[in-house]
Amino acid sequence: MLVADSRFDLEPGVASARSVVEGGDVIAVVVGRDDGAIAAAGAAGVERIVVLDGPGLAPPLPGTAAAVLAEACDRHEVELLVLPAATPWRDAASQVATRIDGACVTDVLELRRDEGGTLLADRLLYGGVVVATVALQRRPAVVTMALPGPGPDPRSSGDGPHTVSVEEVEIPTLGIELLERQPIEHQANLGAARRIVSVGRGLRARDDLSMIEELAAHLEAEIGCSRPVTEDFHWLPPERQVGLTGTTVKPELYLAVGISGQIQHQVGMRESGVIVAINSNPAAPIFEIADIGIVGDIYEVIPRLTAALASRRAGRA
Amino acid sequence: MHIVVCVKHVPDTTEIRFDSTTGELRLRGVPTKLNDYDRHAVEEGARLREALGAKVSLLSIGPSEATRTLKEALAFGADQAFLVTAPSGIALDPAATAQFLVAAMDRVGPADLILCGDVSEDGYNRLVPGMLATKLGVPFLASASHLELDDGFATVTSLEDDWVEKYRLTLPAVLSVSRAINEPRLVTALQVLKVQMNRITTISATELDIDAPEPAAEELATRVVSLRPAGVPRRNEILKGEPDEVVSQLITGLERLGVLE
Repeated sequence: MLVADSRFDLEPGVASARSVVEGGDVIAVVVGRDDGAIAAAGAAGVERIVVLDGPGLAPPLPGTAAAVLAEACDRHEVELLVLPAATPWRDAASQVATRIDGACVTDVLELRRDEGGTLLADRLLYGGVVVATVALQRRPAVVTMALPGPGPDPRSSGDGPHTVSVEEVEIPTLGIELLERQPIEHQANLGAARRIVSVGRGLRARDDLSMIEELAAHLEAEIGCSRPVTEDFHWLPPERQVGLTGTTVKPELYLAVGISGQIQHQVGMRESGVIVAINSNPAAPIFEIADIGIVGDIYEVIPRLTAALASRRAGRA
Repeated sequence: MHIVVCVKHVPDTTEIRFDSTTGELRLRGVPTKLNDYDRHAVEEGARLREALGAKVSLLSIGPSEATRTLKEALAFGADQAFLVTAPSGIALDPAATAQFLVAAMDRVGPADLILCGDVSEDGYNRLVPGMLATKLGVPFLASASHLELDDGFATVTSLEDDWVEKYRLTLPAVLSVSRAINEPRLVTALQVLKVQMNRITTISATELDIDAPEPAAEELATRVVSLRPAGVPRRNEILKGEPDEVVSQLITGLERLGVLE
């Protein structure tokens, strides 16, 4: 069973579930009457869509989602529940698993079975230094998995025959009441960027961001950053933060400017196509994962790089 | 008002390396510390103790060295600390950790509020707080970025990916806090040194009311079976020299790799 959410392409989740569950149907479960999520589920090629319906389920309160999902797992004798690794599902995983006495692993990269049939999940451990293989030794299994954003065109290949059923569910009283809810306006979508220029502690002042903006403009790149720039200096909004506590990105080109490359940052960008690092410290860990590294003063290198890109473009025009 | 703050003693993950020649993780000699996220929970507990006169207890589960972390956390401003010493040689999974913490609450005493950090830096599972709340049968909210307590309720702002939400939770409740909730105070080595060891009560797991206080690895819900280095191999071409020269080499390199089109 897979939790449907219109913010994501659910197909990779369905594929993962199919790869480890033999002979069973994949059910997409929609919490609340959410048409967007029903459409996303339909496009992902599942056999059945189950809509859990009840007052106050769109959107569900924290805890409520977990309670109704746990009951749905029991009702449908679910062997594996896959949740998107995003709010509110990320925080529901622990609660669902406890309610159904299952095994829970979060931020799963890949699912498979060993020779004995035990379900195995790969995930990062120790801040991303290693990939751990975790055995899920109890059933049902509950996992969260990062899913990509929906593609520009609705997926049609997977839109095969499926049934949709609505199940009325009881809403438990959990001692939580919503007082206010406001969307956060995001300026950037780094996850979809082709090129990213990312800046770190090597930048000396907020005003120097203009140097980075100029380079990014010439590269047609989005601007990202490491944790100190958002959490310590507050120079850029949190959605631009790349790393374990920020966004995971996978652009064709990632240019790390004045970023030392702590493992927490590497986790968010090391799957990028080409990685370039510019840092004055030759021992900075970022160089270990760079395709091309420049040991030098960013204040000398960046303006020259911007100028060189500008003249290159002018020369081609 | 009794507030329990759960803290974890963790290795400093920035110092951990994978040794590809031995195929093992270099954990020996890695410095250990109070989990950064828990530091904010400890600070929030200390502030509520100062503002409301709440009694604050710290609770941890781990090796006996975790008393160092508890001493540091006590220096923030807490009344007492409890350390459940984990059964030796067994890495408890999040579900067992939550079970042991729940059992330890018998010794710590009934809490009006349990505070945790959102995640631990080593495991990053983000599971124990929600499991703890569910086992205790009390409300749970993650990513708390602001907290007010008043007459049996907690008013909590939660900062998540796409929304800022404000909730009212009936106490007792479990909250996990984001790093945005406060700026933790700096405690000096002298302040930590002055903390009396007798404020820390050590409880052996076998003293807890648990059916299997020393579970075999196979009996846990989840178990790490193997580790391998993360990441993909890179070209590691390092350019040094005059800025104009390296910039021109960089552009040539990027053109060759086809990422400037």
